[in-house]
Amino acid sequence: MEHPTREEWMDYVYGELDRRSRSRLTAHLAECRECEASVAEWHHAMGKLDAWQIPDEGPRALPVRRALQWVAAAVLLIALGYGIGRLYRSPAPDVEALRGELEASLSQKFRHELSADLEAAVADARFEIQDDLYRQLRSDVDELALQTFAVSSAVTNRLLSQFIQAYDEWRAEDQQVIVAALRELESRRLTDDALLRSDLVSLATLTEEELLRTRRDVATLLTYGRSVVRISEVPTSPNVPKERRSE
Amino acid sequence: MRQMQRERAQQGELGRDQLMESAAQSEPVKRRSRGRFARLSSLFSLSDEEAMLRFQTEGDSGAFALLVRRWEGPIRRLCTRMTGDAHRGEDLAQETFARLFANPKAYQHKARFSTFLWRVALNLCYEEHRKVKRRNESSFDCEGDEESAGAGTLVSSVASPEAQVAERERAELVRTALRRLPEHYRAVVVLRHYEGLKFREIAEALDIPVGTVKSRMAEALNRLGRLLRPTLGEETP
Repeated sequence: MEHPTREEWMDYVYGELDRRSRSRLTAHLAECRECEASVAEWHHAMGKLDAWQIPDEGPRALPVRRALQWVAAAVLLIALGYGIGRLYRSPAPDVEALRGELEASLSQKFRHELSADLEAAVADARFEIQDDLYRQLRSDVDELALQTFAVSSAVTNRLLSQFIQAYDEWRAEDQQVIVAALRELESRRLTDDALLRSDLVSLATLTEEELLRTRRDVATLLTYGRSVVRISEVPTSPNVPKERRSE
Repeated sequence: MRQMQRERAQQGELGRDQLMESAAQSEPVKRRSRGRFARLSSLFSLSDEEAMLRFQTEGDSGAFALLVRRWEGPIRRLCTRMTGDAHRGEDLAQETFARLFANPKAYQHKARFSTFLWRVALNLCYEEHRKVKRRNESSFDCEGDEESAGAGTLVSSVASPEAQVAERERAELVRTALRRLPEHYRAVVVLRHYEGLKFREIAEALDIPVGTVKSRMAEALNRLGRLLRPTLGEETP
C-alpha cells in the first residue's frame, strides 16, 4: 500500500489540502491503521498545544492603548456634558433666521474652500499635463533616435561591406603583383648566380694559368741566376769557401 | 478625449463648472485629492506595504502606529512562545518595532511586510536564545518557571479557581514542552499552530523550502506528542 508523505499529512491535519486530495487521504485513513495512529497522535499533540493561550494585552500594556482608553473616557464625558446641556437648554431660537445665517456663512465658506480645492486641482492637472507632454516628447525623440540609428546602422553596414569587398579585391591584386615580383627576383638571382659561377670558373682558370706562368718565370729566373753565379766563380781561389765553390 | 480636454484647458475655453467636472473625473487628481478627512480615513484602509511606504517616504508616524496596532499582538505572542517568558516576549516585540522605526529602509518591499516582520522578530528571539546560552542563565532552560507562565497565560475568567489552576498547569506543561524543542522546530510550530500562517508563508518567512517546513512540523508534533503524553487520569487518543 502506498502511504501519503508526512508533508501531505501536515497539509491534511492543518486543512491546506484541496477537496480532492483531502478525500483521497481520508479514504486512505479508513484503510490504513498505521497512518490513522500517526494522525491521531498529531491531533492529540495539536489539542494539547491549544492549552497555552496568551492574552491580547501583554503584562505591560502599551501606552497607545492607555491613551485610547483616556480618549474614550473623554468622549464619554463630552457626550454626558452635551446630554446635560440639552436637558437644561435655553428656548429654541428662530430656526428660519438661523438657517438663513448658516446658509450664507456656509455658502461663503464652501465657495472659498471649493475655490481653493479647484485651484489645487487645476495646478495638479497642469503639472500632470506638463509631465505627460514632456514624457510624450521624450518618447518621440527616443523613437526617432532609434529609427535614425537603425537606418544609419544599415547604411553603415552596407558601406562597410562594400569597403571590405574592395579591400579583399585589392589585397588579391596586390598579392599577385608581389608574387610576380618575387618570381622575377628569383629568376634574376638564378641568372646572376650562373654568371657569377661562370666568371669564377674563368677567373680560376686564368689564375691557374698565371700561376703556372709565374712559376715557370721564377724557375727560369732561378736557373739564370745560378748560371751567372757559376760563371763568376770560374777562377777559383783556395780561400773561397767550399759552399761557394759548390754553387 | 483626454488630449482634447488638455488642449481646451490650455486655451481657457472650459468653463469653471466643466473644469470641476473634468478634474473630478480625472483619476490622478482624485488620487492626489487631500480632502479634509481623506488622509485620516485612508489610514484605515491602508495595506501593510502601503503604510510602510508612507512611513518610509513621508515619515508618517500615523502609518507606523497603524502597523504597530495591527502587529503588536501577533509579534508579542510569537516572542513569548519562542522565549517562554511573557516579559521577555514583550520586550522583544517592542525591540522589533523599535528597530523598524529606527531603520525603516531595512524593509525593501521585495517580500510582504508580514514576512519581513516575522523574520525580524524571529531573529531577535534567536539572538536572545544565544545570549542566554552564553550567560548560562537557568531561567531559560530550567523547568517550572511558574512566574513567567502565570504572566503569559490566558485563563478563563469564568472558571472556578481550581479550574484556573488546572488550566495554568496545562499551559505550563505546553510551555515547557515547547522550550524543549529545538528553536527551528519551535518557530514552525508557533507560526503554524498559534499564528495560523500557511506553510508557504512560513517557508517565505524562514527562507527555507516548504517541504522542509512541513517535515519540521511533523517531527515537532511527534516530539510534542511524546513530551505531552497524557498523565494519569487523562484520556488517551
